[in-house]
Amino acid sequence: MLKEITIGQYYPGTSILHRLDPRVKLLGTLVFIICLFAFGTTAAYIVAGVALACMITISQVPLSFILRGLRMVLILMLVTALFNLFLTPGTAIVQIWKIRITVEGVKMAVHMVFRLSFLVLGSSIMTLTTTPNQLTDGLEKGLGWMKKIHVPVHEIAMMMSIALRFIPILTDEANRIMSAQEARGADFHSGGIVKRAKALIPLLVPLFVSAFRRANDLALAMEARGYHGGVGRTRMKPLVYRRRDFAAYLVIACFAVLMFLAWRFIHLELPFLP
Amino acid sequence: MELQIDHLGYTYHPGTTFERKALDDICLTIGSGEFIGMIGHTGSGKSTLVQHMNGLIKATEGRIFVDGTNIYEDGYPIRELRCRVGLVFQYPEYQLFDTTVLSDVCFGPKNKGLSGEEAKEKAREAMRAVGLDESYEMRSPFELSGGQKRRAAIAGILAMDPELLVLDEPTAGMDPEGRDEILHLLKKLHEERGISIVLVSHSMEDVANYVSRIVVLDQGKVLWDDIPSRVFVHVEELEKVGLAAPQVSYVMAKLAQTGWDVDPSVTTIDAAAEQICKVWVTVQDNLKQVADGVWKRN
Repeated sequence: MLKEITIGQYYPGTSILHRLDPRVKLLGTLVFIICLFAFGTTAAYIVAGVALACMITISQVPLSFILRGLRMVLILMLVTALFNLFLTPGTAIVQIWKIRITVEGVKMAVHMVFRLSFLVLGSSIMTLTTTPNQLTDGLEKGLGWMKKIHVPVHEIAMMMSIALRFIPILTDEANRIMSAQEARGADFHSGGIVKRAKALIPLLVPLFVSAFRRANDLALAMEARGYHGGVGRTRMKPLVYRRRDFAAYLVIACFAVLMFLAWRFIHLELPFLP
Repeated sequence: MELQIDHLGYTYHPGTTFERKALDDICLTIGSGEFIGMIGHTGSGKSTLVQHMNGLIKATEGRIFVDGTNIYEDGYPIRELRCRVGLVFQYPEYQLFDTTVLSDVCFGPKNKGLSGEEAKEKAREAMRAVGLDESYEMRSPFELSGGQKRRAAIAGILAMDPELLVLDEPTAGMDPEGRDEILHLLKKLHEERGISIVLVSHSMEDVANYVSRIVVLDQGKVLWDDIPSRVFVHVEELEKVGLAAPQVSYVMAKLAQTGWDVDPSVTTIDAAAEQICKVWVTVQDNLKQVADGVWKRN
């Protein structure tokens, strides 16, 4: 039941994407997302799609694994598409009573589905090729300048990495407690919504108790090892830019320019495509 | 009840990079009234195997028969099976959730479909069996000591009246006194109520002292399935798979090696003490004869 959580899941590998500096990947993802929103034409989306396909190929992560990320937002995508399909004003194609589908609606729906799936795929390539630790390290270093305006970057990064680290532990724990309660005859899978919600009490209470216990233990262990926040703390694996990272920055810049050019100068007139 | 495991196999995450075979071609029959010890190194598949016994995990290969019926058949009452096969997880105290010990222990019997009063009756009985008297009934399970929590959790399973009780390392992390209490409790349940017990353990001493049959698992396979004295003879092979014989077996083997007339296949301290006493008596007799001889000559 809780096995489907793939947020922040890492797929071990040795591809060039795996070895890139996490800061590059973070910025790359950010640029990708901004471009998707800023340059919303068919031509630009073809560029984005090609770029995405290249990245997926380079990453050497199996396609089925990447597409699994899409499954989680399937419902969101469906709802968005339906709303856009039926509620966009414009020239109607089909009209039944008060419900009507417009040309603009179809365009909007297609556009939204592509944008959402590109967003999810783009960010899952990043999380699949970057360990959560690298990711938070990258964030901490990349946002280091914010310390000057008194943003507690280190603390936030530490909290993030702890939170990410604890996702699998707590899922494991939840599965274990669930099995233990099922061994006592508990039933999590049938009954109405009230009954199901009630059935979760024997799962949630022990889970919270153990989460607090773990938090306590962790805090104590960190203090016992002399942790005192980010000031003066050195790293075991400091992030250093290499040549490939600069090359990657160049690729990202090229991508952004290409997207801009495609959006500005190429106008494809296709039926039912934005 | 008789539980028959037939060529059982289980693979975690089949078809992904995380694929791992946890169980491989396990055949095992657990008869009525048996007291079985299951030992194996960490990761040998013990915990996975015991979760098959009450149908929590569905095997990827093979079948399980309970009293001759395949539990993977459509329409098999799997929740009823979970009441008949009581499974006590590792660190069961982490599953306690209710406001009072009594209502927590009632959880199982209530799920079984008993009415409030019947469930309370069963719960009280189970609490008495594990040595928690009436004064604990209204206390919060979270304010008990570690050992008491564990006993309360075991009571939660016992209250369902299982015919087969499976315990996954019930003594892990306990002090010697708590450990002995739990093991004595199991022995009592086995003798007085005739419950069959499967005891998963790391401690060779525990297993040797209480069980009548040992199943050794290694890398998801059954290595041995025999009475303790015959299993613990394989000291070298056991050590190779990260296990050991009870310490007393080593002592007896050493004694036998150096020429003393003792049985090296002894596995419990009591039996070893008996043997050593016997040898000591003969030694004493011999000494006496020698001394008498010397006395007479002078």
